[in-house]
Amino acid sequence: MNRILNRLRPLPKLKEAILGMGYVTPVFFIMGALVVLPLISTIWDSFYNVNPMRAGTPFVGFDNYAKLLSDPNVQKSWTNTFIYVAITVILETVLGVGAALLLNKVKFGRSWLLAALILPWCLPPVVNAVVWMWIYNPSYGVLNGVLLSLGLIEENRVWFNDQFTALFLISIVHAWRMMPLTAIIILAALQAIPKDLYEAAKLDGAGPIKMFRKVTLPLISGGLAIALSQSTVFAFNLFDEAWILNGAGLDTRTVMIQVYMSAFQNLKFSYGMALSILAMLASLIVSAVYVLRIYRETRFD
Amino acid sequence: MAKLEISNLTKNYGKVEVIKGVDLTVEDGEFVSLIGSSGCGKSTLLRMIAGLEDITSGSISIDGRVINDVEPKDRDIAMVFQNYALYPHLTVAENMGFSLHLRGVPKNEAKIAVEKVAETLGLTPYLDRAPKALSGGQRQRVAMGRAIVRNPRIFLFDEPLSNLDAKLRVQMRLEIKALQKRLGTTSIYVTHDQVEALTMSDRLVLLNGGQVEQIGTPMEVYKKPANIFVASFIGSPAMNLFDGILHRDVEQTFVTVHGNKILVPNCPKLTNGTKVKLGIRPEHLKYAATDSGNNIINMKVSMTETTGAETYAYGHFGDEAMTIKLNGEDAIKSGDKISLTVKTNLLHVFDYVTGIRINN
Amino acid sequence: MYMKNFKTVIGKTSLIFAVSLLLFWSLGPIYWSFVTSITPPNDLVSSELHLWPETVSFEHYGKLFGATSISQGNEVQSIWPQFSKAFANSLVTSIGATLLTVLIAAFGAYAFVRFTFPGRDILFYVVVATMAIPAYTVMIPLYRLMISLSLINTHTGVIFIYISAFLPLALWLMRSVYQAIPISLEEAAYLDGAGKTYTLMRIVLPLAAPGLIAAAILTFLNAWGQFMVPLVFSPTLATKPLTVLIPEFVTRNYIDYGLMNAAGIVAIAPPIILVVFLNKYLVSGLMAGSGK
Repeated sequence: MNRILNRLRPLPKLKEAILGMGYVTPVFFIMGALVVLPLISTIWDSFYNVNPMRAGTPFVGFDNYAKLLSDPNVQKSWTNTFIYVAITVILETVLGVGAALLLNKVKFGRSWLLAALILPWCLPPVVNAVVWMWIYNPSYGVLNGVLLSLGLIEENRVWFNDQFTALFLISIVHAWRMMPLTAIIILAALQAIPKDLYEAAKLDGAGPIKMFRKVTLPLISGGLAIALSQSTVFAFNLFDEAWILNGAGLDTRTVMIQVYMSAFQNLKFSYGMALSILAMLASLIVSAVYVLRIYRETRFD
Repeated sequence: MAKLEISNLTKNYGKVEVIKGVDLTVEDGEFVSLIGSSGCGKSTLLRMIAGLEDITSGSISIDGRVINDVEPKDRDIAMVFQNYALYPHLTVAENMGFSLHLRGVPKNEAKIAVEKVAETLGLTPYLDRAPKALSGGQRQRVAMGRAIVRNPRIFLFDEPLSNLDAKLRVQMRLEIKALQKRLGTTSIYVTHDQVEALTMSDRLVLLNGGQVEQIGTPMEVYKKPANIFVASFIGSPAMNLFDGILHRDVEQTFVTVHGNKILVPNCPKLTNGTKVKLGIRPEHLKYAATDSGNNIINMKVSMTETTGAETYAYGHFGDEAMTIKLNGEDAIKSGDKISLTVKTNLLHVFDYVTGIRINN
Repeated sequence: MYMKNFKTVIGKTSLIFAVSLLLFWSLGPIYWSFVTSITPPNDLVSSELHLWPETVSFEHYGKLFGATSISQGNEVQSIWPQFSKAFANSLVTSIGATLLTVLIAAFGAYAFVRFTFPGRDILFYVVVATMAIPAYTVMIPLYRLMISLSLINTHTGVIFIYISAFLPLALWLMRSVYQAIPISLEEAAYLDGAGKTYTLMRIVLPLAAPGLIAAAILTFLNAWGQFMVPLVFSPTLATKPLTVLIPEFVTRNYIDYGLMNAAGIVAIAPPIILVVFLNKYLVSGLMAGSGK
């Protein structure tokens, strides 16, 4: 304490420090009480057996984690989640980079195009899911209607009867919502590239493809890393779309739905907590991998 | 009106010492410039006076009262910033009246004060405009006006003219000086431009590496630079410096440079045979009638430049580079070998090791 | 010369094609939802596809807003009371969370940028790091906490949970906004005699207004779309928002898609209004928020 006071010795500095701490007091208490302490509590409780329907909270060590490994429903939800992550990250990145390149080219009415692009991200995910549920409707949905009239299918399909199709269709709904975020991040990176680099490359005789690979790609790689890790974290936390479109169905169940069911429907609190911690770690590790990889590959400056 | 005293002031950023024990007294009504190259600590020193940087040790006082722990808002000091720092969302009048408003000056009074200052600065037509709608020179005036309206104890200027073009800079230089003389407010002016410092100030403070090299009037620092740093910083083109050996006999003191004998002013402290640096300003070298004898410099010209009114010639004396400043009309070209002479009383002798001025 | 013209024509055409594709992808589903919401119920179950309904009908909206409503020929209780309550709940929690988040972030971020005080950097990094924590990781302890504070199923409880969830982003964004404001403006205000808080209110906040608007929009959109949090913390109509109410239309014995789409269109109206009118701030906020 003395050391700190010493560092803030001049009177104005001390006043400033007190004022600064005053300004962040709400941040400190809200984040501490509603995020940091609950997180610690979750980690702590995941080593106990907390169940509101049973008396006592015995210490069980890694039991919850061990059970998670052998629970077939949990395994299934992990597999589903990884499939979601793979599909949505690829879709969002490819479409997002494409949309960003397009927007960077468009000069007329760009702000309106941006508004249209960003709109899906702004809407409640639940409403999005409801809208798409109607599109995917087996009897009257527009997807069946269009495919029928194009002659691509011969009769109406019940899309959610096939597991992979169901996962893919849910991924599309999620990617539809999240792609704008990737596009905006990439667009910001694109706009930060100095124009004279392209002029220099042109004078050096580079064609459009070479220009993209040698100038654009390295310079947006920072944005790309951010976009990839955002996509991944959001895909790991996928809940709303899968829950609305197919409820608790095991075929499309995500880890987050599994957590919700374990904790709030089966009231196995600790079990759910342990699973949510694993999910958090998994999404952090995967996104850290991108960031590190891209960082290492593009450390040219 | 205020007298500013700074004593043994230091400032550290972590382990880096940026101000190393500065002592300075600025008299009431005086205009003092802090000058030095970038990183010399001049801006830091100014900001410490303003209270924007805290003090590691030493003291700053105004009229005998130590203000180390007084917050900037209570120091009654006005500052003109390099980027003007005009509040973009307020009009010119609101910018100028902001401090009066804060001090609770009645609206009418404040309005009159602002209008009066605006009048003297020629800003009356612009009072209701936003700073964005003004030219660089006008913004500069608003920044000045904001400082003047308050009638503060001290004005601080942080390179206020560096964002203006050359012509406007000369004009504003004159205006600031005239204004300061009229208001009689103690002023401290930071610049890296020696012309500004020399023309505007009552006294200059030359800073180098966080230390004061010399404090003096413009003429003092030009005529009697305290050391090699000041000698080569003040004056344009920079002073020529030659290695030489000091000799002294009964009737004269002289320095030999590349075999030439150059009579110098008396250097009482030095013994015969000491190694010294001899300083000669480019503008003090004149064509000589002969190419040998006392006080002769033989120059081999390698390049010339002319601005019309003046011509600079660059070349060598022996193996040492040198520059001279001649009239624009003087015909001189590269390859020329010329002989120059200099008056003894215009010469500077510096200690070879410490760089300190030796002659009177 | 002819080749060059030909090339630009191809370029223009493919650009227009790409733009149309993007518009179709982004707006198509919303358009389809709107068309559905104004199609008469009987036409919804016809097998023909119409890009615009043959007869426009506001029957579905009538069900939402009407005092009574007809469902499959029978008069049923109107859902307007539920729907209007849920809409109000969504508004109250979203606006409450937005105002408080922006207020707290406006002061907090300023302290993180301009003041030095013990623990500043640690606090900032911890707060930002919490953005990576999935909501469900903290949901159970939060649930117990809310029960012990009797804040379950209250607007206050939900608003505070929203603040804790969206504050890090707002702080991050406001920090980059403040960092972009030249510090000399604040120094000039100090020398003019202004205190730190006065300077923040009178000089800094007006200049940071676009950033504040961006932070407000992002927070509002996030809060408006929340589903997981109210699913747990808003069990009854006292606080239940639209996002939880609308999917409940599904669980009845028959799914009224016309009604759901009409409700969806009403629920997306506020976000659409924000995007249309404040798009500039939203985009700049997202760009600043995603940087580094």
